[in-house]
Amino acid sequence: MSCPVSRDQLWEWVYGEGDEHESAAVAAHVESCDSCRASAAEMRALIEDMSSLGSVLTPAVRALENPERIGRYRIHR
Amino acid sequence: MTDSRREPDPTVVSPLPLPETQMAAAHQSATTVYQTFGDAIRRFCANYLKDEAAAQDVVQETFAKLATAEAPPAGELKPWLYRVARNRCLDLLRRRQVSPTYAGGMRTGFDAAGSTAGPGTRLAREERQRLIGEIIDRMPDEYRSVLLLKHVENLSRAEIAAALEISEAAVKGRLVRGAEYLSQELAQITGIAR
Repeated sequence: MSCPVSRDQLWEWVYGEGDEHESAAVAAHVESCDSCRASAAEMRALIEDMSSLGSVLTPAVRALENPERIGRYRIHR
Repeated sequence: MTDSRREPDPTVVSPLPLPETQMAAAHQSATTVYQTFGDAIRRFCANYLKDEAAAQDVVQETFAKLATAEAPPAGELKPWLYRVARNRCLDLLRRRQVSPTYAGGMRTGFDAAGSTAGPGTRLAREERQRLIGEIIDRMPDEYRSVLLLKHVENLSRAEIAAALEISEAAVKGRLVRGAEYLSQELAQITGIAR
């Protein structure tokens, strides 16, 4: 647990949000650290799960899709 | 402001009955915007409220606010819509917290998750997604809002910053802390030691 790269830095790197210099340093470290590589893989999996959450979070909303009018206006599609 | 708001497609809507010219333009543009963003805003509200009828009400209020605004909202329209809708959702959630009549309908916890998923159990993807959804429902809104806007609504960092009225640096910070919060909670629930 004496990694020079923190989990926050790892998240930034995985999200592509780190600055260029830091990202290069994190990438180099991850290359040689099994623990961080595993953590990064787990983070990517979590991001993927979050990105496909829409239908899980709101299964009941579909019934409301395609309303025919808004207030007193009728929508023509 | 986008051109589409100033020049609404006259073929997409027929007012019943025909309002005064200026009002008609405002309403038509709001309707055009509704067709573009209505479904997304409704999904966003439903994720907050867990109540499709209440979500639909917030959507109506949000677009009514746009249609009746004396001046167009400053800045980009999309973040403005998310901002108005989220503020309204948070109002409703706060009201629910103090209203005992809603207590029965509130989520009460992680249900049977702890008992069905013992330590080391590999969760089915569906179950994992359900857990992630529940953790997001319960996490502090400063994290929840950013994660929903980023991953479900697919807003850019700049759009999220505008919607939440915070800096882009703050968006990055909340994204990282929110994702880590989710990761820790999920690990705790599923019994996977880090």
